Amino acid sequence: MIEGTPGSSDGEETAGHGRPVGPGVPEQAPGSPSRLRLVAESSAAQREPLEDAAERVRGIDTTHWSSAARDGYLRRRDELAGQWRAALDVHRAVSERIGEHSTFVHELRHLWAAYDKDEDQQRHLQALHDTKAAELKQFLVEQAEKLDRLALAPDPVGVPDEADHPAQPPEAPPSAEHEEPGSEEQEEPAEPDEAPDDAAQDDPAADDGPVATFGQQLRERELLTRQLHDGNRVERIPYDGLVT
Amino acid sequence: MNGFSVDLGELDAAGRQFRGLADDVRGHVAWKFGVDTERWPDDDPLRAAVDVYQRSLIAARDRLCARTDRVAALLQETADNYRRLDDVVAQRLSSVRAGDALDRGNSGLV
Repeated sequence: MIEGTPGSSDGEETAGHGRPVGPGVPEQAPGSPSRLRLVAESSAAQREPLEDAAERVRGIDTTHWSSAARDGYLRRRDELAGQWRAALDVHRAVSERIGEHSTFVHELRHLWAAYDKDEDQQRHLQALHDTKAAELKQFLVEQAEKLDRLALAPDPVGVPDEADHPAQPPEAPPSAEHEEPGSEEQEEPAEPDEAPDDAAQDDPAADDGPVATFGQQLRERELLTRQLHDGNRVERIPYDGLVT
Repeated sequence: MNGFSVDLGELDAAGRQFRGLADDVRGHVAWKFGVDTERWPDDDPLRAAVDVYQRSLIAARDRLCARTDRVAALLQETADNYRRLDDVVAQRLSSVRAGDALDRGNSGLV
């Protein structure tokens, strides 16, 4: 062990693994406390604007507006707030995980020094670090994929949704509710109670195309079957023979 | 729903709130320096994953900001449409005589 290394968590410029000095035992503890601390601090700072957005979007209300268009606005606002919240939840989890790993790597320096004469223990610590680093790496990639799926669908304004509007509206009069864009937002699939973990699902489900249409039909059929089975829904089939 | 009521000033204000929010997020100091891995050694086990995650985070932020801007624009358009409609109705009612209004009551406003 190099003199002074255990305490020098700042300024060290080693790679993830130190140079082996013996059979499989690195010269110094693996990991970089200074680099990880920077990432942890940056990630923690990045939470702030996301928290701010998630909080503020949900609070933007229009209490003096009363119309069908306003209902559409509220759905759109809640969906947007849910997406901000989903991004925040992903990043909060990442930030905490990086912070934990940073603490672990920092502590590892001290443990490494404590086991200066014990190569078996150092090998164990090395393996522990490698496992934790691999897990964090995997976690980061998975969370990145979650973010990649968030808010991906094109802005659906103007795109008709057959689930909400199965038939053409009858001769829509030129009223404000029908002309202003807020009403178009009702055509967007509404998921007001979107859970944070739905980030990976919310937008792909809103994609257009035959696959999405088929998926929607499938979900509706499953829902109908479930309701019929549970007795929540009764299909009334007209039968002329019973009518006299 | 029968009829509607709206405070156009409130709609304008809500639109400004959305726009300001998107601007605040984009301009937040937390993004200014980001996570710089340029000088990290190539064999750092986390370098690539940190880069991937940060790229995804920034891209998601930008998409959400764009959506927030879009809601702001929609609210502004909504307020403009309400104003336009009110102008159309007002012009219509002031340009026709009472008899015309009765005769053409079903002809639509626009």
